[in-house]
Amino acid sequence: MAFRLPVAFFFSALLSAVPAPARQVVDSTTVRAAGRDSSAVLRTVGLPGIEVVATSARSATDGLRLLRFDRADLIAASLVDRLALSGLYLRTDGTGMPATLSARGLHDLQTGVRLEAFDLRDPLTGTVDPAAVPRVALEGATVAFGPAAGAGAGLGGLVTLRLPSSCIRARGDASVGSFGSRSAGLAGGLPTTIGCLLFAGQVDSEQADYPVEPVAHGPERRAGNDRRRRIGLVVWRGAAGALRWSTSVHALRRVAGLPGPANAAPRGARLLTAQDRFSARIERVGTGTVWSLEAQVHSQSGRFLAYSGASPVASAARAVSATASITRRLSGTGYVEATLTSGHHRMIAGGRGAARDAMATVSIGRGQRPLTAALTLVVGSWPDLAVHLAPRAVVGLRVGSFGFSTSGGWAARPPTVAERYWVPGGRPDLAPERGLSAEARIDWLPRFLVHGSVSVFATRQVDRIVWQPRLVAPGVDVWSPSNVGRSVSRGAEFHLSAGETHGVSLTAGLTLQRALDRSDPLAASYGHSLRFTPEALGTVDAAVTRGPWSTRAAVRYVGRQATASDGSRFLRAHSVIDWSIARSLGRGSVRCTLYNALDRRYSAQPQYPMPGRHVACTLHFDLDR
Amino acid sequence: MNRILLLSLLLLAACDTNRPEPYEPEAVGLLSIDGGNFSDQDGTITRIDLVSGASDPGPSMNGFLQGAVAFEGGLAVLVNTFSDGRVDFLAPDARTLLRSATGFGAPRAVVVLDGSVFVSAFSADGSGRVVRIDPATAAIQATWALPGSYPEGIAVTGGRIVVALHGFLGDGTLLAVIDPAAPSVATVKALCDGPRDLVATADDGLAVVCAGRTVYSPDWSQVVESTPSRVVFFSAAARSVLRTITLDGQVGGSNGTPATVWLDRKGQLVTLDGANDRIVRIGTDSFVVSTQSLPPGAPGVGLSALAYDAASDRLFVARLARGVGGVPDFSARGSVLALEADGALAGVWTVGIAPSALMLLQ
Repeated sequence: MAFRLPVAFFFSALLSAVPAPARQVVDSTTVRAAGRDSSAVLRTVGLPGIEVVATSARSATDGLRLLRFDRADLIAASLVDRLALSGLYLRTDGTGMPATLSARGLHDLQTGVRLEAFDLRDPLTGTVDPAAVPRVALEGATVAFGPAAGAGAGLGGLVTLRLPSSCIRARGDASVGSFGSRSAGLAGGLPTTIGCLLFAGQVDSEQADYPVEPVAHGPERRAGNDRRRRIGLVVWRGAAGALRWSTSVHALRRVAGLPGPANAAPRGARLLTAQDRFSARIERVGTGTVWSLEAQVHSQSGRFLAYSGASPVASAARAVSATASITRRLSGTGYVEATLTSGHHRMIAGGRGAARDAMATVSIGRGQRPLTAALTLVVGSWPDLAVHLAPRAVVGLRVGSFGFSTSGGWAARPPTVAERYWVPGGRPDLAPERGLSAEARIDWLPRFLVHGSVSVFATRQVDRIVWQPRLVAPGVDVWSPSNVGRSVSRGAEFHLSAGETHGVSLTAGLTLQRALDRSDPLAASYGHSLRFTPEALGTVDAAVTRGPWSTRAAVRYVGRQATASDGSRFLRAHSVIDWSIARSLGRGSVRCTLYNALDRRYSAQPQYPMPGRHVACTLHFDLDR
Repeated sequence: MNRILLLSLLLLAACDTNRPEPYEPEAVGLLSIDGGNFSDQDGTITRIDLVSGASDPGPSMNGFLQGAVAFEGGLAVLVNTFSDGRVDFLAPDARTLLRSATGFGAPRAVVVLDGSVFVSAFSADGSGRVVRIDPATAAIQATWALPGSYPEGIAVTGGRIVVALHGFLGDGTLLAVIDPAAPSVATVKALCDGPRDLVATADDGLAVVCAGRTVYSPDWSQVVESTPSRVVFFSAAARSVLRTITLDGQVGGSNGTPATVWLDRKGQLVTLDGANDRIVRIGTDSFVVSTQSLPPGAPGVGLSALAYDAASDRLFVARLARGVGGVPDFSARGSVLALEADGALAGVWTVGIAPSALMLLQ
């Protein structure tokens, strides 16, 4: 059990200080990154003081620092670019390839991505591609920093993507850019007597044939890595009396040159990745009570094309999960909610097993300014019905234009199906990764549309799952995961946003973090930075609007990051400036963006050079405008 | 250091395992061919001045370095990339790239004969070949398809090229014999499972170090069958067997790279048992097997490469970094140890990540 004496003492002290259960209502959650208040787009049901944000464990982000982006933000910059500007660290091996997200010095599996209530993670590996949803279908996104483990994410954070709350008419975009990149997306709504059907589709094609940083022994261009992506999404949402429902079918097909560095141009080999997801949710909103049921089937497969050295189907997995939850309003603005999720994960090719797990979340809280508090308890059965508790508490205090909050507790990430059953090397007996995290934050809200915050955080991770070599024959190692890792990450986040005033808006953020290995004092890595953990992340996003014209500049700084576990090698720090200019066209707009305007040579991981200066122009239209 | 490197570059051990070491002056420099982290493709060549103790890690070479051999005019380095490989021809400073050869798959081992570089290589499906490359132009002069999968070691004996057909997890049992002047490939039974390292011994003899065969259950959770390592000593050109030695368990280097040298002055074969941190010696006078453990406190884990300096009677061995729980860490710097004849530790140097081979400089 993850609950230990110091934590128990912390909770005892916390609860004795709070007169009654209360839900934290931190004002930062209603302030968007750069502009209008976006709370209206959230799906809200009629419980005073309770905001249903359409995650299966609604209280999972209680007390966490939140950033919200709305439709306008996601037109001004793509979702991936927005996330990179949010303070998350985005790693990718090139344009058009899946990116991984990490936060606060924790690896990418510790940050989850959801499409409203539903998990977008690959059921096999747990990784997630935030660009897997048609961008024209998105109404916004929320980024929560910290342990949102109650929502099935990990210790790092949770990105929740939102769809339109009402039935849209039609919207779409088309773009062309450097390196032969082309993309088009279309979304439309079809109102019916029993709800709205939302259709969305997107096709992309990119060619990573771009010059790369000259190196002594490498090529001058990165070639042969064309990527094509097709995404489809159909959502049916409706309401009848006290019932509300939402079902969706989501399909992704991606064909890409075999992943490889700049010096290994694949010889016609391709990897076809297919993901299909069906999900349904129904909820009943009663007087003071919301009941909901959710179900999801998610399958994934990877297939090699024209590659004689590999099996035709490299891997395939399917996950089936169901969630039932109830949220009950207490007197005043208090609430109690309970969620039970059960999942069945199975490798259907490339593996040998299946896993079942269950997670129960109980939260109780009351929000009554100036003092708010909430307590969440997560019980997970990972693996094989072993019970792990992950209690977490948050308390907040509002004084004038300042908000003070602190939170802490245990969180856990269940092992993925690949970690359990990958052949060779999978370990069915893996325990979840666990971590004790604490955060303190000061929010500053001097007036509407202006928000500043300073957060300090620390996470102590135990049972971190590390893939290590296991010798099977001389010179032949099978890599296998085990719960041998320990690490400590600490840092501070600074955030300032000023919404659009006199046509000018500004958002700036700075994250300073240090994540150190504490696994084995005799190991070469002990005391050194975890690999691929930038020491700093900085962002500045400024926009100026004059009449139909607007221009925007975004600066991303990524500090150096260790690539060797003993701290002997680093990827050097880099900063990238993107500049765009846009013109409003009635029901649409056209935007041209100059990416990497200073033509910096940089990589997000070794041997995968990112493109230099390049351009893309996009035409948007929206018949609802 | 530069002064040293401007001197003649001479391979005494490790990769060019086919020539008995001449009785040269004591080595003054050492090159550590560091594989690097395979997924980061950041292999390097560390130059070590054995006189001053200084070391120079060198830049990333955009690939996993499998091994190297000296040729007239420089150094030929085998570079494995994710889906292919190449041979980089470097100037004697081990830094300046002269030219590269590509288009033959993943290189495994290399030898020099008559000014040409011969490389054993395989494709992703295991099919093997030997290519002959002209170092002056990096042009592939000839290619021989091999009658077995996953070739490993390569040696010259009696004017012929011999290649170990290791097979998948050691299921190969043959040696390929190539006449450089003919297109055909003959085979000879290796009389053991999984031939891996080849070294030329005295009088045009050949020693074959066989790793042994390992058979796993389909899900790789259990070992179904395992045969021990053997060393087979052949007479000239592999025409007859002088002796077969069965070793205790399976031996091999910790980095999947050649791990055997022949000490001509001692008439002794030395190979590495990386899994057990032992050096295995076999004297050809009596064919007695002896093992040598590393001195207590020696940094790192496993054994991944070796070289022998006859003048000082020192053995240089490379180790991998110690990972969590004592397993190798293929993303941290390794080390090179100099061992006296009595096994005492004479020196320790930090080198690049996952050293694959060592080369001594006179």
